[in-house]
Amino acid sequence: MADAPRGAPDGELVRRFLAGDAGAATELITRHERRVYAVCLRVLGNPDDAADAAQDAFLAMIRKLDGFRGEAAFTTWLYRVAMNVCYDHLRRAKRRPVLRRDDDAPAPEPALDDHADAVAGAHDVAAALEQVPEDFRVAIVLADVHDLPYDEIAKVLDLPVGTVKSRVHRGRIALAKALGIGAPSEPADRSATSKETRP
Amino acid sequence: MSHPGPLLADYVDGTLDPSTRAEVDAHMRTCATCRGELAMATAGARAAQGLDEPAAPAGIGEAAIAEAARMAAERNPEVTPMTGRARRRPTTPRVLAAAGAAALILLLVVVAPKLGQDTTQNAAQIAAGGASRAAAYPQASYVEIQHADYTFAVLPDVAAQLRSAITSSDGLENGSVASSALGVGAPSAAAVPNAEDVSKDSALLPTATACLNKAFDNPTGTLSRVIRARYGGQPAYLGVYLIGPGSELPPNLLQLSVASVHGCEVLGQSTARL
Repeated sequence: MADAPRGAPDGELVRRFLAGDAGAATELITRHERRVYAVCLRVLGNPDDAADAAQDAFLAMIRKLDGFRGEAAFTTWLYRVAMNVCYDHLRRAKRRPVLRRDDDAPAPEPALDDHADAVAGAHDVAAALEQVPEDFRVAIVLADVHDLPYDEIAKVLDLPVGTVKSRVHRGRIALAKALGIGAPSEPADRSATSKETRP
Repeated sequence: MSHPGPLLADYVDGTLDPSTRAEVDAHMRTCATCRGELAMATAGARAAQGLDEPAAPAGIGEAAIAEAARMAAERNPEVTPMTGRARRRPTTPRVLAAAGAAALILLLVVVAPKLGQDTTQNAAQIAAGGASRAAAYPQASYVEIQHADYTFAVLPDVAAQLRSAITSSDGLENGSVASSALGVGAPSAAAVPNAEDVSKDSALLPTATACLNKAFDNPTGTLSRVIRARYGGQPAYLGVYLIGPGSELPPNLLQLSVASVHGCEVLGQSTARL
Protein backbone atom coordinates (compact mmCIF):
# COMPACT_ATOMS: atom_id res chain seq x y z
CA MET A 1 0.00 0.00 0.00
CA ALA A 2 1.30 3.43 -0.86
CA ASP A 3 2.30 5.75 1.96
CA ALA A 4 -0.16 8.47 2.76
CA PRO A 5 1.08 11.63 1.06
CA ARG A 6 2.25 14.22 3.58
CA GLY A 7 0.59 17.05 1.77
CA ALA A 8 -2.81 15.38 1.40
CA PRO A 9 -5.74 17.32 2.88
CA ASP A 10 -7.14 16.04 6.16
CA GLY A 11 -10.35 14.90 4.49
CA GLU A 12 -8.40 12.81 2.01
CA LEU A 13 -6.44 11.18 4.84
CA VAL A 14 -9.69 10.37 6.63
CA ARG A 15 -11.06 8.77 3.46
CA ARG A 16 -7.91 6.73 2.98
CA PHE A 17 -7.91 5.53 6.57
CA LEU A 18 -11.52 4.44 6.29
CA ALA A 19 -10.51 2.51 3.18
CA GLY A 20 -7.96 0.56 5.24
CA ASP A 21 -4.81 2.70 5.00
CA ALA A 22 -3.33 2.86 8.52
CA GLY A 23 -0.56 5.18 7.31
CA ALA A 24 -3.14 7.86 6.63
CA ALA A 25 -4.15 7.81 10.30
CA THR A 26 -0.52 8.03 11.34
CA GLU A 27 -0.12 11.11 9.17
CA LEU A 28 -3.26 12.67 10.65
CA ILE A 29 -2.00 12.06 14.18
CA THR A 30 1.48 13.36 13.42
CA ARG A 31 0.06 16.44 11.76
CA HIS A 32 -2.20 17.38 14.65
CA GLU A 33 -0.43 16.06 17.75
CA ARG A 34 1.12 19.40 18.65
CA ARG A 35 -2.20 21.21 18.32
CA VAL A 36 -4.10 18.63 20.35
CA TYR A 37 -1.48 18.40 23.08
CA ALA A 38 -1.26 22.18 23.32
CA VAL A 39 -4.99 22.71 23.70
CA CYS A 40 -5.16 19.96 26.32
CA LEU A 41 -2.22 21.49 28.20
CA ARG A 42 -3.79 24.95 28.32
CA VAL A 43 -7.18 23.62 29.37
CA LEU A 44 -5.94 21.09 31.93
CA GLY A 45 -2.85 22.99 33.06
CA ASN A 46 -0.69 19.95 33.75
CA PRO A 47 1.68 18.28 31.26
CA ASP A 48 0.99 14.74 32.46
CA ASP A 49 -2.77 15.19 32.37
CA ALA A 50 -2.45 16.87 28.98
CA ALA A 51 -0.44 13.98 27.57
CA ASP A 52 -3.00 11.52 28.88
CA ALA A 53 -5.85 13.57 27.47
CA ALA A 54 -4.13 13.95 24.11
CA GLN A 55 -3.64 10.20 23.90
CA ASP A 56 -7.28 9.64 24.75
CA ALA A 57 -8.30 12.28 22.21
CA PHE A 58 -6.38 10.55 19.42
CA LEU A 59 -7.83 7.18 20.36
CA ALA A 60 -11.29 8.73 20.32
CA MET A 61 -10.49 10.38 17.00
CA ILE A 62 -9.47 7.08 15.42
CA ARG A 63 -12.55 5.30 16.72
CA LYS A 64 -14.92 8.04 15.64
CA LEU A 65 -13.46 8.85 12.26
CA ASP A 66 -16.19 6.96 10.47
CA GLY A 67 -18.58 9.49 11.99
CA PHE A 68 -16.74 12.45 10.48
CA ARG A 69 -19.00 13.67 7.71
CA GLY A 70 -16.88 16.51 6.47
CA GLU A 71 -19.61 19.04 7.27
CA ALA A 72 -17.16 20.98 9.41
CA ALA A 73 -13.43 21.39 8.92
CA PHE A 74 -11.50 18.41 10.25
CA THR A 75 -9.68 20.61 12.75
CA THR A 76 -13.01 21.84 14.12
CA TRP A 77 -14.18 18.26 14.51
CA LEU A 78 -10.87 17.27 16.14
CA TYR A 79 -11.02 20.20 18.57
CA ARG A 80 -14.48 19.04 19.52
CA VAL A 81 -13.23 15.51 20.20
CA ALA A 82 -10.31 16.90 22.22
CA MET A 83 -12.52 19.25 24.22
CA ASN A 84 -14.89 16.44 25.13
CA VAL A 85 -11.94 14.43 26.41
CA CYS A 86 -10.63 17.44 28.36
CA TYR A 87 -14.02 17.97 29.99
CA ASP A 88 -14.04 14.28 30.95
CA HIS A 89 -10.63 14.72 32.56
CA LEU A 90 -11.78 17.83 34.39
CA ARG A 91 -14.82 15.97 35.72
CA ARG A 92 -12.67 13.08 36.87
CA ALA A 93 -10.24 15.48 38.55
CA LYS A 94 -13.12 16.97 40.54
CA ARG A 95 -14.08 13.52 41.77
CA ARG A 96 -10.60 12.70 42.99
CA PRO A 97 -10.46 12.73 46.80
CA VAL A 98 -7.12 14.56 46.76
CA LEU A 99 -6.45 17.03 44.04
CA ARG A 100 -2.89 17.73 43.15
CA ARG A 101 -3.37 21.32 42.12
CA ASP A 102 -6.73 22.56 43.35
CA ASP A 103 -5.99 22.32 47.04
CA ASP A 104 -8.58 23.14 49.64
CA ALA A 105 -6.94 26.45 50.29
CA PRO A 106 -7.87 28.93 47.58
CA ALA A 107 -5.08 30.42 45.55
CA PRO A 108 -3.89 33.69 47.04
CA GLU A 109 -5.50 36.73 45.48
CA PRO A 110 -2.89 38.60 43.49
CA ALA A 111 -2.44 42.22 44.33
CA LEU A 112 -4.27 44.25 41.74
CA ASP A 113 -2.13 46.35 39.53
CA ASP A 114 -3.48 49.44 37.89
CA HIS A 115 -1.25 49.00 34.90
CA ALA A 116 -2.90 46.98 32.17
CA ASP A 117 0.46 46.80 30.48
CA ALA A 118 1.99 44.88 33.35
CA VAL A 119 4.35 42.36 31.93
CA ALA A 120 3.75 38.73 32.73
CA GLY A 121 5.91 35.89 31.62
CA ALA A 122 4.47 32.87 29.80
CA HIS A 123 4.85 30.80 32.95
CA ASP A 124 2.85 33.32 34.96
CA VAL A 125 0.16 33.45 32.30
CA ALA A 126 -0.09 29.66 32.15
CA ALA A 127 -0.42 29.53 35.94
CA ALA A 128 -2.97 32.33 35.95
CA LEU A 129 -4.97 30.57 33.26
CA GLU A 130 -5.57 27.71 35.66
CA GLN A 131 -7.40 30.09 37.97
CA VAL A 132 -9.87 31.07 35.28
CA PRO A 133 -13.19 29.14 35.55
CA GLU A 134 -13.05 26.22 33.16
CA ASP A 135 -15.79 27.30 30.73
CA PHE A 136 -14.15 30.70 30.34
CA ARG A 137 -10.72 29.13 30.17
CA VAL A 138 -11.73 26.82 27.34
CA ALA A 139 -13.17 29.78 25.44
CA ILE A 140 -10.05 31.93 25.67
CA VAL A 141 -7.75 29.01 24.95
CA LEU A 142 -9.59 28.38 21.71
CA ALA A 143 -9.99 32.07 20.83
CA ASP A 144 -6.75 33.65 21.94
CA VAL A 145 -4.21 30.81 22.18
CA HIS A 146 -5.40 28.81 19.16
CA ASP A 147 -6.85 31.75 17.29
CA LEU A 148 -10.11 30.07 16.29
CA PRO A 149 -12.89 32.32 14.97
CA TYR A 150 -15.93 32.64 17.23
CA ASP A 151 -18.23 30.79 14.84
CA GLU A 152 -15.82 27.86 14.76
CA ILE A 153 -15.56 27.84 18.57
CA ALA A 154 -19.36 27.80 18.64
CA LYS A 155 -19.28 24.60 16.57
CA VAL A 156 -16.56 23.05 18.72
CA LEU A 157 -18.44 23.73 21.94
CA ASP A 158 -21.95 23.44 20.50
CA LEU A 159 -22.88 26.85 21.83
CA PRO A 160 -24.45 29.99 20.32
CA VAL A 161 -21.87 32.46 19.05
CA GLY A 162 -23.11 35.09 21.51
CA THR A 163 -22.41 32.76 24.41
CA VAL A 164 -18.93 32.13 23.08
CA LYS A 165 -18.21 35.87 22.87
CA SER A 166 -19.52 36.38 26.37
CA ARG A 167 -17.30 33.59 27.72
CA VAL A 168 -14.27 34.91 25.89
CA HIS A 169 -14.85 38.40 27.24
CA ARG A 170 -15.37 37.22 30.81
CA GLY A 171 -12.45 34.82 30.49
CA ARG A 172 -10.13 37.60 29.42
CA ILE A 173 -11.16 39.69 32.39
CA ALA A 174 -10.74 36.73 34.73
CA LEU A 175 -7.27 36.08 33.33
CA ALA A 176 -6.31 39.71 33.80
CA LYS A 177 -7.49 39.53 37.41
CA ALA A 178 -5.54 36.33 37.97
CA LEU A 179 -2.46 38.12 36.66
CA GLY A 180 -3.02 40.92 39.13
CA ILE A 181 -4.10 43.38 36.48
CA GLY A 182 -6.93 45.60 37.64
CA ALA A 183 -9.01 48.25 35.95
CA PRO A 184 -7.23 51.59 35.74
CA SER A 185 -8.07 53.80 38.69
CA GLU A 186 -10.38 56.69 37.98
CA PRO A 187 -13.01 58.64 39.86
CA ALA A 188 -16.71 57.87 39.57
CA ASP A 189 -18.38 58.33 36.18
CA ARG A 190 -19.46 61.94 36.57
CA SER A 191 -16.08 63.25 37.67
CA ALA A 192 -14.36 61.00 35.19
CA THR A 193 -16.25 62.70 32.40
CA SER A 194 -15.30 66.13 33.61
CA LYS A 195 -11.70 65.03 33.97
CA GLU A 196 -11.63 63.81 30.40
CA THR A 197 -12.89 67.11 29.09
CA ARG A 198 -10.05 69.02 30.65
CA PRO A 199 -7.26 69.98 28.32
CA MET B 1 -26.46 52.38 24.17
CA SER B 2 -26.54 50.02 27.17
CA HIS B 3 -23.39 48.23 28.33
CA PRO B 4 -21.99 46.50 25.23
CA GLY B 5 -21.02 43.32 27.15
CA PRO B 6 -19.98 40.57 24.70
CA LEU B 7 -19.50 43.16 21.96
CA LEU B 8 -16.36 44.08 23.82
CA ALA B 9 -14.85 40.76 22.70
CA ASP B 10 -15.16 41.94 19.10
CA TYR B 11 -14.02 45.41 20.15
CA VAL B 12 -10.82 43.99 21.63
CA ASP B 13 -10.29 41.92 18.49
CA GLY B 14 -10.83 44.98 16.30
CA THR B 15 -13.54 43.22 14.31
CA LEU B 16 -16.49 45.54 15.00
CA ASP B 17 -17.97 47.32 12.03
CA PRO B 18 -17.30 51.08 12.09
CA SER B 19 -20.79 52.20 13.07
CA THR B 20 -21.08 49.73 15.98
CA ARG B 21 -17.59 50.64 17.08
CA ALA B 22 -18.57 54.32 17.11
CA GLU B 23 -21.56 53.50 19.32
CA VAL B 24 -19.37 51.53 21.71
CA ASP B 25 -16.86 54.39 21.77
CA ALA B 26 -19.63 56.82 22.62
CA HIS B 27 -20.75 54.59 25.47
CA MET B 28 -17.19 54.27 26.72
CA ARG B 29 -16.86 57.98 27.14
CA THR B 30 -19.57 57.94 29.76
CA CYS B 31 -19.13 54.52 31.40
CA ALA B 32 -16.16 53.95 33.65
CA THR B 33 -17.28 50.35 34.28
CA CYS B 34 -17.00 49.47 30.61
CA ARG B 35 -13.71 51.34 30.29
CA GLY B 36 -12.33 49.23 33.10
CA GLU B 37 -13.67 46.04 31.55
CA LEU B 38 -12.17 46.95 28.22
CA ALA B 39 -8.75 47.61 29.72
CA MET B 40 -8.78 44.30 31.57
CA ALA B 41 -10.14 42.30 28.63
CA THR B 42 -7.46 43.80 26.40
CA ALA B 43 -4.75 42.87 28.89
CA GLY B 44 -6.18 39.37 29.30
CA ALA B 45 -6.37 38.82 25.55
CA ARG B 46 -2.84 40.07 25.06
CA ALA B 47 -1.53 37.74 27.77
CA ALA B 48 -3.33 34.69 26.39
CA GLN B 49 -2.24 35.46 22.84
CA GLY B 50 1.36 35.46 24.05
CA LEU B 51 1.19 31.82 25.10
CA ASP B 52 3.07 29.49 22.82
CA GLU B 53 2.10 26.09 21.51
CA PRO B 54 4.49 23.66 23.22
CA ALA B 55 5.80 20.61 21.41
CA ALA B 56 3.98 17.39 22.12
CA PRO B 57 5.92 14.78 24.09
CA ALA B 58 7.12 11.80 22.09
CA GLY B 59 4.75 8.90 21.82
CA ILE B 60 1.43 10.56 22.56
CA GLY B 61 -0.06 9.23 19.35
CA GLU B 62 1.40 5.77 19.74
CA ALA B 63 -1.69 4.05 21.18
CA ALA B 64 -3.92 5.62 18.54
CA ILE B 65 -1.54 4.61 15.75
CA ALA B 66 -1.63 1.03 17.02
CA GLU B 67 -5.41 1.18 17.19
CA ALA B 68 -5.54 2.59 13.67
CA ALA B 69 -3.37 -0.27 12.43
CA ARG B 70 -5.68 -2.79 14.04
CA MET B 71 -8.79 -1.14 12.61
CA ALA B 72 -7.24 -0.76 9.18
CA ALA B 73 -6.27 -4.43 9.20
CA GLU B 74 -9.87 -5.32 9.96
CA ARG B 75 -11.03 -3.24 7.04
CA ASN B 76 -8.32 -4.48 4.76
CA PRO B 77 -7.26 -8.01 5.78
CA GLU B 78 -4.41 -8.04 3.27
CA VAL B 79 -2.55 -5.50 5.37
CA THR B 80 -0.55 -6.82 8.32
CA PRO B 81 -1.29 -4.73 11.41
CA MET B 82 1.56 -3.05 13.25
CA THR B 83 0.50 -4.71 16.47
CA GLY B 84 -1.60 -7.66 17.41
CA ARG B 85 -4.00 -5.71 19.56
CA ALA B 86 -4.31 -2.23 20.86
CA ARG B 87 -6.31 -1.22 23.82
CA ARG B 88 -7.26 1.74 25.82
CA ARG B 89 -5.15 2.53 28.82
CA PRO B 90 -6.75 2.30 32.23
CA THR B 91 -9.14 5.17 32.70
CA THR B 92 -8.17 5.58 36.34
CA PRO B 93 -4.82 7.27 36.21
CA ARG B 94 -3.92 6.93 39.85
CA VAL B 95 -2.36 3.95 41.51
CA LEU B 96 -4.61 1.36 43.04
CA ALA B 97 -3.09 -1.28 45.29
CA ALA B 98 -5.26 -3.97 43.75
CA ALA B 99 -4.21 -2.99 40.27
CA GLY B 100 -0.58 -3.07 41.35
CA ALA B 101 -0.94 -6.55 42.77
CA ALA B 102 -2.76 -7.78 39.69
CA ALA B 103 -0.13 -6.20 37.49
CA LEU B 104 2.60 -7.91 39.45
CA ILE B 105 0.96 -11.29 38.94
CA LEU B 106 0.62 -10.46 35.27
CA LEU B 107 4.28 -9.60 34.99
CA LEU B 108 5.34 -12.76 36.73
CA VAL B 109 3.09 -15.02 34.75
CA VAL B 110 3.60 -13.46 31.36
CA VAL B 111 7.10 -12.06 31.48
CA ALA B 112 9.15 -14.02 33.94
CA PRO B 113 8.68 -17.45 32.37
CA LYS B 114 9.74 -16.11 28.98
CA LEU B 115 12.77 -14.40 30.45
CA GLY B 116 13.73 -17.64 32.10
CA GLN B 117 13.24 -19.64 28.96
CA ASP B 118 15.45 -17.36 26.98
CA THR B 119 18.09 -17.50 29.66
CA THR B 120 17.93 -21.26 29.69
CA GLN B 121 18.39 -21.29 25.94
CA ASN B 122 21.23 -18.85 26.37
CA ALA B 123 22.94 -21.09 28.90
CA ALA B 124 22.74 -23.91 26.40
CA GLN B 125 24.30 -21.67 23.79
CA ILE B 126 27.11 -20.72 26.14
CA ALA B 127 27.67 -24.37 27.03
CA ALA B 128 27.91 -25.15 23.34
CA GLY B 129 30.61 -22.49 23.13
CA GLY B 130 31.31 -19.80 20.61
CA ALA B 131 28.47 -17.48 21.64
CA SER B 132 29.29 -13.81 21.41
CA ARG B 133 28.16 -11.42 24.10
CA ALA B 134 25.44 -10.06 21.88
CA ALA B 135 24.07 -13.53 21.45
CA ALA B 136 24.94 -14.63 24.97
CA TYR B 137 22.31 -12.62 26.79
CA PRO B 138 18.78 -12.71 25.49
CA GLN B 139 17.81 -9.46 23.82
CA ALA B 140 14.36 -7.98 23.65
CA SER B 141 12.83 -8.27 20.22
CA TYR B 142 9.50 -6.63 20.96
CA VAL B 143 7.66 -4.56 23.53
CA GLU B 144 5.04 -6.25 25.64
CA ILE B 145 2.07 -3.99 26.02
CA GLN B 146 0.30 -4.57 29.30
CA HIS B 147 -2.87 -3.10 30.62
CA ALA B 148 -1.42 -2.70 34.08
CA ASP B 149 -0.26 -0.14 36.60
CA TYR B 150 2.91 -0.75 38.61
CA THR B 151 3.95 0.95 41.81
CA PHE B 152 7.24 1.85 43.36
CA ALA B 153 6.43 -0.42 46.29
CA VAL B 154 6.28 -3.57 44.17
CA LEU B 155 9.36 -2.82 42.07
CA PRO B 156 11.91 -4.66 44.28
CA ASP B 157 9.58 -7.64 44.48
CA VAL B 158 9.20 -7.68 40.72
CA ALA B 159 12.99 -7.62 40.27
CA ALA B 160 13.45 -10.32 42.90
CA GLN B 161 10.84 -12.52 41.31
CA LEU B 162 12.34 -12.05 37.87
CA ARG B 163 15.61 -13.21 39.41
CA SER B 164 13.85 -16.23 40.88
CA ALA B 165 12.42 -17.02 37.49
CA ILE B 166 15.92 -17.11 36.04
CA THR B 167 17.65 -18.99 38.82
CA SER B 168 14.87 -21.46 39.65
CA SER B 169 13.84 -23.88 36.98
CA ASP B 170 10.53 -24.38 38.82
CA GLY B 171 9.87 -20.72 38.46
CA LEU B 172 10.33 -20.97 34.74
CA GLU B 173 7.61 -23.44 34.32
CA ASN B 174 5.05 -22.36 36.84
CA GLY B 175 3.96 -18.83 37.62
CA SER B 176 2.35 -19.97 40.84
CA VAL B 177 5.75 -20.36 42.47
CA ALA B 178 6.53 -16.72 42.00
CA SER B 179 3.14 -15.42 42.97
CA SER B 180 2.81 -17.56 46.08
CA ALA B 181 6.11 -16.15 47.27
CA LEU B 182 4.44 -12.76 47.27
CA GLY B 183 1.54 -14.02 49.29
CA VAL B 184 -0.96 -13.18 46.59
CA GLY B 185 -2.00 -16.77 45.94
CA ALA B 186 -1.80 -18.85 42.86
CA PRO B 187 -2.86 -16.99 39.74
CA SER B 188 -5.98 -17.98 37.95
CA ALA B 189 -7.70 -16.72 34.89
CA ALA B 190 -9.88 -14.52 37.09
CA ALA B 191 -6.92 -13.20 39.08
CA VAL B 192 -5.07 -12.02 35.98
CA PRO B 193 -7.27 -9.41 34.37
CA ASN B 194 -6.51 -8.60 30.79
CA ALA B 195 -3.96 -11.41 30.54
CA GLU B 196 -5.44 -12.28 27.19
CA ASP B 197 -5.04 -8.67 26.23
CA VAL B 198 -1.23 -8.57 26.42
CA SER B 199 0.20 -7.94 23.00
CA LYS B 200 3.64 -7.66 21.44
CA ASP B 201 4.73 -4.72 19.38
CA SER B 202 8.10 -5.07 17.70
CA ALA B 203 7.70 -1.74 15.91
CA LEU B 204 7.68 0.03 19.25
CA LEU B 205 10.97 -1.48 20.40
CA PRO B 206 13.31 1.19 18.94
CA THR B 207 11.26 3.97 20.53
CA ALA B 208 11.13 2.22 23.87
CA THR B 209 14.83 1.40 23.81
CA ALA B 210 15.75 4.95 22.91
CA CYS B 211 13.55 6.24 25.72
CA LEU B 212 15.15 3.95 28.30
CA ASN B 213 18.62 4.86 26.98
CA LYS B 214 17.81 8.52 27.32
CA ALA B 215 16.37 8.19 30.80
CA PHE B 216 19.18 6.05 32.16
CA ASP B 217 22.02 7.51 30.07
CA ASN B 218 22.74 4.42 27.96
CA PRO B 219 22.74 1.89 30.79
CA THR B 220 25.07 -1.07 30.81
CA GLY B 221 23.74 -4.55 30.32
CA THR B 222 21.60 -6.24 27.75
CA LEU B 223 18.02 -5.13 27.43
CA SER B 224 16.24 -8.46 27.66
CA ARG B 225 12.62 -7.47 28.14
CA VAL B 226 10.67 -4.31 27.53
CA ILE B 227 7.18 -3.72 28.85
CA ARG B 228 4.86 -0.84 28.05
CA ALA B 229 2.47 -0.36 30.95
CA ARG B 230 1.76 2.32 33.53
CA TYR B 231 3.81 3.15 36.57
CA GLY B 232 2.34 5.24 39.33
CA GLY B 233 -0.48 6.11 36.97
CA GLN B 234 1.57 7.37 34.05
CA PRO B 235 2.58 5.61 30.85
CA ALA B 236 5.95 3.94 31.31
CA TYR B 237 8.50 1.62 29.77
CA LEU B 238 9.89 -1.07 32.04
CA GLY B 239 13.25 -2.36 30.86
CA VAL B 240 14.76 -5.56 32.20
CA TYR B 241 18.56 -5.50 31.84
CA LEU B 242 20.87 -8.43 32.33
CA ILE B 243 24.35 -7.47 33.44
CA GLY B 244 27.28 -9.88 33.53
CA PRO B 245 31.02 -9.89 34.16
CA GLY B 246 32.06 -10.79 30.63
CA SER B 247 31.09 -12.09 27.27
CA GLU B 248 31.67 -15.73 28.13
CA LEU B 249 30.00 -15.68 31.54
CA PRO B 250 26.34 -15.69 32.45
CA PRO B 251 24.70 -12.55 33.82
CA ASN B 252 24.93 -12.00 37.56
CA LEU B 253 22.78 -8.93 37.92
CA LEU B 254 19.25 -8.06 36.88
CA GLN B 255 18.21 -4.44 36.69
CA LEU B 256 14.62 -3.34 36.30
CA SER B 257 14.51 0.26 35.05
CA VAL B 258 11.36 2.31 34.58
CA ALA B 259 11.14 5.42 32.38
CA SER B 260 8.22 7.65 31.53
CA VAL B 261 6.90 7.36 28.00
CA HIS B 262 6.42 11.12 27.92
CA GLY B 263 9.73 12.89 28.33
CA CYS B 264 11.71 9.70 28.98
CA GLU B 265 12.48 10.52 32.59
CA VAL B 266 13.59 8.15 35.32
CA LEU B 267 10.65 6.85 37.31
CA GLY B 268 12.19 3.98 39.24
CA GLN B 269 14.81 1.29 39.32
CA SER B 270 15.44 -1.90 41.20
CA THR B 271 18.30 -4.38 41.09
CA ALA B 272 18.49 -8.05 41.98
CA ARG B 273 21.64 -10.17 42.12
CA LEU B 274 21.34 -13.37 40.13
